[in-house]
Amino acid sequence: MENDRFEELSWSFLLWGLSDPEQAEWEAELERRGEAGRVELARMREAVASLALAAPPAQARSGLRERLLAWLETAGEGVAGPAGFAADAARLRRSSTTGPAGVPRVPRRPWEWIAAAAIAAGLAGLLAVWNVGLRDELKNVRAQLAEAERRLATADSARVELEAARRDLEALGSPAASVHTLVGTAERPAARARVFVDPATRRAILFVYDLPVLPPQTVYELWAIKGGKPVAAGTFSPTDPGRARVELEDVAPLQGADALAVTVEPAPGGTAPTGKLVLSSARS
Amino acid sequence: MEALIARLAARDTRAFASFYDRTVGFVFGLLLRILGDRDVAEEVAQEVYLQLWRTAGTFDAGRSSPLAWIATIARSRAIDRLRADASLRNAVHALAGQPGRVEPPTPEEETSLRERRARVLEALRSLPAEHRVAIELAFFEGLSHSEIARKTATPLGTVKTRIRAAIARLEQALDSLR
Repeated sequence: MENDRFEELSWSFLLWGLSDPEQAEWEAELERRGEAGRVELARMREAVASLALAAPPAQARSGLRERLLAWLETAGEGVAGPAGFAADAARLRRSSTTGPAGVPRVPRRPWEWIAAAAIAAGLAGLLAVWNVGLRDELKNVRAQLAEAERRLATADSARVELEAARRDLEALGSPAASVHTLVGTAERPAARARVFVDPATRRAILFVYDLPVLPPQTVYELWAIKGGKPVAAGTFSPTDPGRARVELEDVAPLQGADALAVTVEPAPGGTAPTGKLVLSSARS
Repeated sequence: MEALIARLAARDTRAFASFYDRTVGFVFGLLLRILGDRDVAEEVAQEVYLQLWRTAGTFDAGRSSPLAWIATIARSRAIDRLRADASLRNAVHALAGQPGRVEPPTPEEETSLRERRARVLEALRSLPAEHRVAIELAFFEGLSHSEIARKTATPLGTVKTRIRAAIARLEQALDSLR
């Protein structure tokens, strides 16, 4: 290797470090040069390092010395060498209030603390206001959501009711529809009901009034009386005390019925009445 | 100084106090010159003295002088901080292209350190301004050959020549002390 190249690599090593290939090249040359190379490198190192003397000397604040000495008294017997230093440096990076290995960080000047405190207070205030605003906004959004859900539920309910009313009107307005009126027996004298049967659309709708909600495992069962024999026409369970609207799935039993009757039966209902009769009718 | 460093290696805290007193002006001056911010320089100074304490056992008087050992560690940590902190680097780079202030040695500079400093300052003053800018950008800002070439709009070869000439002049100045 030419001397100029060796010098350039040496200065680069001392000032910036070398890339891996350059480092290998330089170390090989340094080894080849032996003691003379090491002496020359030491001479260059002194020259480069001497540039530090071009910086005007300056005194750190007195607290730095005390902090370092305090640290040495308490933690200075740690692991020596780069590994130990790396550990301390890591602690330094992790700590916001202390320096390496617990050395307190450089104290800021009073005005800086005041400024920092003012900024922190301002930020805290802004955060508090923002937090209150956020809570209010969240509250508003929740209220809006509840209102939307309520309106949606109302709308859904209204849509269901509207659809049911439309079907009821169709059934009631059908020229082929028949109506059965039922009245309460001595067991439920106030109860009454009407059944609309439309053979054209094969739909039947039962409206019930003043029938109480039944205990669990019991249902009301509608019977169509044909030729003196009861035929099961469907069951229902009012959820709204006293009232019910039931669309019957099968209209066949109702067609040609002489009379209708409602009894209380064990759930899910049977093929012959066994319980108390609460409503009975005659075709109107 | 070598004896002091040996005592640091032996974990002598009283030696550390003496070592600090004798070197802090030099170390802190260097850090302040590189970093340009007193608070940051003091934070890095803590790291430097910690590293000096930790690695004192590795000091080899046959490879470098105590001054070179200390300066190398201090500069390395300051350049690391400079590279890690873009705002610091931007502030320092605002001065790029201007050679640093070189104070004449004072009559009171009688110690060996001060004499060395006087020689270094004298050598730097004797350099052409562009040579001094190149070596200062390399040493105090850690800029590479190519970075200096871009920053000063100078051919790379010229930058290398200037740095080589500056270091050769410094070697001559130090040789005169031996």
